[in-house]
Amino acid sequence: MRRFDLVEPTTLEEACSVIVDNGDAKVIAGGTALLTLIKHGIFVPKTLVNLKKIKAASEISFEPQAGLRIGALAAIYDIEASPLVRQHYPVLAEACHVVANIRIRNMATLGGNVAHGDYQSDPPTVLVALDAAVELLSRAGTRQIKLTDFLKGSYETALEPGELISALIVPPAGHLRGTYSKFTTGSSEERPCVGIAALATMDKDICMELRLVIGAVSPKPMRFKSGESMARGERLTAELIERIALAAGQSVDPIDDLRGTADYKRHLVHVLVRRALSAAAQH
Amino acid sequence: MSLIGTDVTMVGGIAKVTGAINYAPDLVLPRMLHAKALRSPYPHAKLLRVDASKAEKYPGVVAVVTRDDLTGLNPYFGPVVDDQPVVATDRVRHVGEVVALLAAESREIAEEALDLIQVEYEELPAVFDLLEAAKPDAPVLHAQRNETNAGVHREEFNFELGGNVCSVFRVEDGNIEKGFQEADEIFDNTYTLPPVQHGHIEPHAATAYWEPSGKLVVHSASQNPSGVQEQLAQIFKLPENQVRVIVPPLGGGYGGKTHARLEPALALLARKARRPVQWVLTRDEVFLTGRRYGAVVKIKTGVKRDGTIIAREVQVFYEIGAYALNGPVNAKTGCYVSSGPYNIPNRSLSTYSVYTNLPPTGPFRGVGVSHVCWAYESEMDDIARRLGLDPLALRLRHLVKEGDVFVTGEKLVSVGITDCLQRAAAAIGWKGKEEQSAPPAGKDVVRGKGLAVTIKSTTTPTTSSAQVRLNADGSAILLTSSVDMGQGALTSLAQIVGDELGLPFEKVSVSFPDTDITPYDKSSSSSRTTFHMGQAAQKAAGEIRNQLLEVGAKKLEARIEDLELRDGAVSVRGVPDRRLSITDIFKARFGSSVGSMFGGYCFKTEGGLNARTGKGKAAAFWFFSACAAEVEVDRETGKTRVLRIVTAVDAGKAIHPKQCGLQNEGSMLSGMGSALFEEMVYDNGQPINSSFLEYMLPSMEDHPAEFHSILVETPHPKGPHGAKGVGEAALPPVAPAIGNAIANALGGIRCRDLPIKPDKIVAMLDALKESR
Repeated sequence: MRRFDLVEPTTLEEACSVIVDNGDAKVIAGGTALLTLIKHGIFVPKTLVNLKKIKAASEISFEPQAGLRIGALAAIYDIEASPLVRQHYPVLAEACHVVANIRIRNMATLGGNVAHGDYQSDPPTVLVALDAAVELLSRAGTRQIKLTDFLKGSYETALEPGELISALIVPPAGHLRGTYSKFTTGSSEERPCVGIAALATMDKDICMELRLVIGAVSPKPMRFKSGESMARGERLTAELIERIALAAGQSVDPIDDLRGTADYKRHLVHVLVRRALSAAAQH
Repeated sequence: MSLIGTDVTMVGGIAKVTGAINYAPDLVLPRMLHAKALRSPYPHAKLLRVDASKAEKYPGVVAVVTRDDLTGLNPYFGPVVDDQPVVATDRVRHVGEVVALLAAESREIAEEALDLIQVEYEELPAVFDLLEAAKPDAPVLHAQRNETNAGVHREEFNFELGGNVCSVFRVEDGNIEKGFQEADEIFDNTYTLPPVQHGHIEPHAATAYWEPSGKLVVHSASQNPSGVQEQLAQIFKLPENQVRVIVPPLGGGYGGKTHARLEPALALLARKARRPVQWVLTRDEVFLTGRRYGAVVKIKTGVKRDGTIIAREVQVFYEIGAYALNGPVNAKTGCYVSSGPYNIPNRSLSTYSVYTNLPPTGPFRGVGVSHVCWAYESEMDDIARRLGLDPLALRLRHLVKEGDVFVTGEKLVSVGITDCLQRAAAAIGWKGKEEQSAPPAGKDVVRGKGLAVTIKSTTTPTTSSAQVRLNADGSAILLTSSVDMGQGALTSLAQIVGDELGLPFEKVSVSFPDTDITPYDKSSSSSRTTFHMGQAAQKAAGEIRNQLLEVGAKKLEARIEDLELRDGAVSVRGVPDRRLSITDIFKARFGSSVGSMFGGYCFKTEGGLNARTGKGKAAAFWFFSACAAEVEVDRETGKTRVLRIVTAVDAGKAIHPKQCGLQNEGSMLSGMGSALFEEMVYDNGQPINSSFLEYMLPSMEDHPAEFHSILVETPHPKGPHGAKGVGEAALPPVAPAIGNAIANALGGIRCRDLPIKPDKIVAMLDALKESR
């Protein structure tokens, strides 16, 4: 690792000033992603701006009208363990729980996770399904952008120079219930080969609304909207579920990598969507 | 109560769990510098120019060594073949080869200054595929090769010159052609294993400095202090007493730290810098420094209709990377066990170690044996299935037994393998032939059980020596070059010494290896420490015991046979009042209650194989184990979950049963990782998963619910208290047991290429569907 200066602001506003004044600075929160990149020489920052001491930016709050607000500095474990998250967004707690291992989850932050833009990650898939937004802070003030628009591609985001993520906003989930399933082809601590978030609002056995997001097989989590509309207003029969799952498998265009071949991943999406929808139909 | 067979508190265990222990990277010396290596980005290239002059002038840089600094040295080294340059000379042969080593005031400065070293390469054709590399027209890595002066087994290898085949080993029994002619069924298959990582948490690390007198001092995380000392003495043309190697406890080794890796270049750098220099590898550098051999195993078996195996031919190609290191030893060790622990009248076994332009390899738990075990144990299940036999019965029928003559021509002694297999099979409720019946139709998730056994030798002949010193207060210290690498060697050695001297465990301490103080040992490898160092320590303590008894007999006016040593005193058996404490004995002997009593012993095993015939004595002791596994396979996703792994290991005598069990459990998790997903992957010789983010080990979540090891005790007549080694025993059978369990779950569909990842299972099931 090369030498760098460490700056430790006490507010996010102060941090914004530091990065504006210091073009090649990198902000660091948990460091679980950034330090790896620095060690491999992918980034060689002269200045690191440590956000971890800004305690106020890690709060998690819930308002029935506005929904959930997760401070960008909240650790993945804090979200998984938050009674508010567990009560109102159990599927988000589930997705946070399956991230890596407890040591990583204690360090890594949700803001860092989203800013990293790693397509092989669990929380963004569920957050896209929940229609979450990213709150961004700059000297000019704050702005909000849907997470699905914020994530532009593999390791690419809409974050502008001088901007920081201040929070994730998750709208009320209403009666949406469902699951997140992470599938790994190696160690359980690996990043997902495929992640499926399937949330449904059921009225008896009629599916009023379906949110189906496929993660880790495209540059960003992909909401499978045609599958969602196939289900809307319908009974989730085994036959319909199979049709949606098959279409989902055909819709993705994954790459061959160490986690599996492209063909295999398409097959997995088919199988896992079928299983996720069958589970969602039971909720 | 005897100390032998007792689970005393592990020596250094509390310091380890509290984090108080200092490992090699924790060492801080005054004025210490930090080293960083400039490594080749090319898998094979001529070195046209290496110019470090700009880097030497960078603020904070103290010295850089390149090929220009090798004058006056023996610039090549290696445990068997002197083919590794201290730093690259005329060419580089793998990505990551050290071209220059730089010392600076901090690691950060060192890393920055590396950019200033100017190197010009001219790329050469490279070869990565093992079988391609073995062909006569492949690009040649080593036009010239020298056998080392240091290797003790030199006479046992058949070195091939000219191509990339480094060494060949062969052994035969009976008449292989005739055997196949008499067979009713022939099984002929090829198995492959990829390179995998040792996964020691502590990276390779060393610190070196030169004393003003010209003596070299190296602190190194090494499994082999005497071997490192030998190599450094040879490179720097020093007598061995001018090279001092000190070894702290290791944060894991598993074979990855058995040979000199960092020390030669580091010592050269410290000499030039005239200051202590420390070199700690990063994780991706560890991936460029050592690994387990990849292999292709071709195995052909001839079987009679009644299930009698009458012929087996095995050809194994081990991919050893750019330098020989332990490759020839590995190929030899794998050869004679490549037909398994079975009696087969006709066999022809040959193994080849082959150079490629991939990063270097090295010993890995189960040296060479995991590769052949994967093949022969998978074959046993296929044979049983085709002939409609119980795989357990088929194995039991052919297993070697006490006194049988092995393929090397030696008689096998202390053979507990039948017990191991029966107990492992019983532990998972093995039901017989029906374990191979077709899986239930219509179910996605199916279960299966599998068995496997193994046999392995310990490297032979070798030498271990030990000294024991008894103080007048009744405390003793064992001086040994055995390395504490988590296996608990120091604990079991202290137990052996305490038992011999009748001392409570707390009264015995054990040194760390320091070649100025502790005597020669071959290495802490090959599961050899308890057997070899255990005997050296026992006999060294025995010399003191004899002295104590002699003095005691005189003073107590008793015969030596009537005396016993216990609780730190000599007493007449049955007459506890007639006793002398150790302090009393010192007073009687030296007229003083201070002083030292010494004992020392150099233990050497006999044997070795004839390189031409492959016959002789391969092992001072053989060790045996069995594994039984149960898995659940999701036929839709191809994902395997391991439900149970049980191993049974013949320890001879478990000096410390708990540590034996833990050793085995470590092997079992490692074996599970390489069975299911561990695999080092390269692109044009460049590792593409050289971090623990991309190359993952099994996690706690993957840990099977039922997971334990059974200790079988078949005493070895020559082992200390009957003990043999267990360090590697449990690893080789794990992958084939899991492979067999998967095949049984899937109705006989078999993956012959490790690791058995989910996409392979799905592809096999799809291919089967299409063929129907």
